[in-house]
Amino acid sequence: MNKLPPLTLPGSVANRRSKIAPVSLDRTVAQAPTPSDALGAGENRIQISTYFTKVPVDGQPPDVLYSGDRNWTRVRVMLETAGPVAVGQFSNLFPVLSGRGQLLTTGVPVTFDIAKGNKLYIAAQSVNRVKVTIEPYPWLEMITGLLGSLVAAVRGTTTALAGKSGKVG
Amino acid sequence: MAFPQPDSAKYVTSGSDFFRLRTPLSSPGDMYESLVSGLAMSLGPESDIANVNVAYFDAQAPNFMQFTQISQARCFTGRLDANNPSKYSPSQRPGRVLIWPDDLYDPNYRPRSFSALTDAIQFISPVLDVVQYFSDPGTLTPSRIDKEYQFQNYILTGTLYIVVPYYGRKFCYVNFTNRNSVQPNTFGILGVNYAITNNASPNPYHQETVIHSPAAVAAGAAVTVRITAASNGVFDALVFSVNNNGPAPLRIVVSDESQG
Repeated sequence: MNKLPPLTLPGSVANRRSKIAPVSLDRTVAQAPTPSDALGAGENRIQISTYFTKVPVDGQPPDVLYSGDRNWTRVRVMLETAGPVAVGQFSNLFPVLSGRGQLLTTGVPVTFDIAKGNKLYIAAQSVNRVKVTIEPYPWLEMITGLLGSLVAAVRGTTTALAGKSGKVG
Repeated sequence: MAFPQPDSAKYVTSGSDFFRLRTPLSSPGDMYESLVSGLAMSLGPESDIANVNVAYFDAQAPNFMQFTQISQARCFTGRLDANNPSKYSPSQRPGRVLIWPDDLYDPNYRPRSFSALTDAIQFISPVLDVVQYFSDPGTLTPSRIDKEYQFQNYILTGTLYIVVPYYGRKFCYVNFTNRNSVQPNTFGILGVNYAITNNASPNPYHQETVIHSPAAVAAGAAVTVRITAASNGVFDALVFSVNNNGPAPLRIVVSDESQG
């Protein structure tokens, strides 16, 4: 019986942890990607999917279309069916025609630039089909990630030094 | 009606640009629904029904239900809202786009000359064909296709009546040839407009118009009839009668065009 652990090389696929949440391939089920808790310097992959809106249930908040788990993202959505479908950054989108979100126009793509931590909600009154493209700003994603890492490193050093000086004192 | 009824939401999730409701009618009360909103409604190419009612959710309409009608000459463009979370009043039924034929259909209709003891009747069930577009189709030309029906041999003891849908049609070409080498075949054509009536009563309200009086067609002879809206009128259905097993090819072509 082999007691050795499976061989994985540094940087191999098995060691990478995607910040893009898993997406079901069942196209008949409306779904919202769940937020990812992964942190890192930057995420450059594009997430392309088709989103199916659901009939809302009383009291339920609207679905999350994008959960703000990247540093900077350009989210492009295009409604393919009749709607009405509203998107917005707050969870009080219902009723759809209340004006608290932006109504999508059929066949017209709309782009939003979203910073980390902000969510994009989507609300509808029936089943609709929405094309979704979540793409990073490669340079901005990288710079923001590096700056974040740098700040974290400096903060860590400062904390360590403060700890040492505290012991001396 | 088709069972199970086609699910409009599945047309959305399967990537289609439209929901097509195409089903033969089985009773005058057939009603259908679409769960999703549309940007246009049109009669489908294979529809026998000429006038179709559509109801949709409208918060400003009485009972929140607004109506429109489409036909072979008139489609509807603009968003028809299903609005599933809202409810129609006072029924408190959830929002839907409801679709049902405005034209009457009565499978219990029997011609005045029908004898229940010896005669038989066959209906070509009218097809309801409606297309709901999810995206703006630009322009719509809701023309129906011409339909052709062919019959040749008949199972009968007395007279056989064949009922063919004719809603909104403007022209019909009929060609009947008796290929029985010995016996004549009595052939006739009626135009009927259905009424809401009790068919069990001795005097149902259906309206019948004789287009071609039943007359014997000799062996080897043929009859050609052209029915036009201008000269004969408009009917819900045409009723063809024969009283011989045949062979007797009967070819019927119905069209929306007035054919000059």
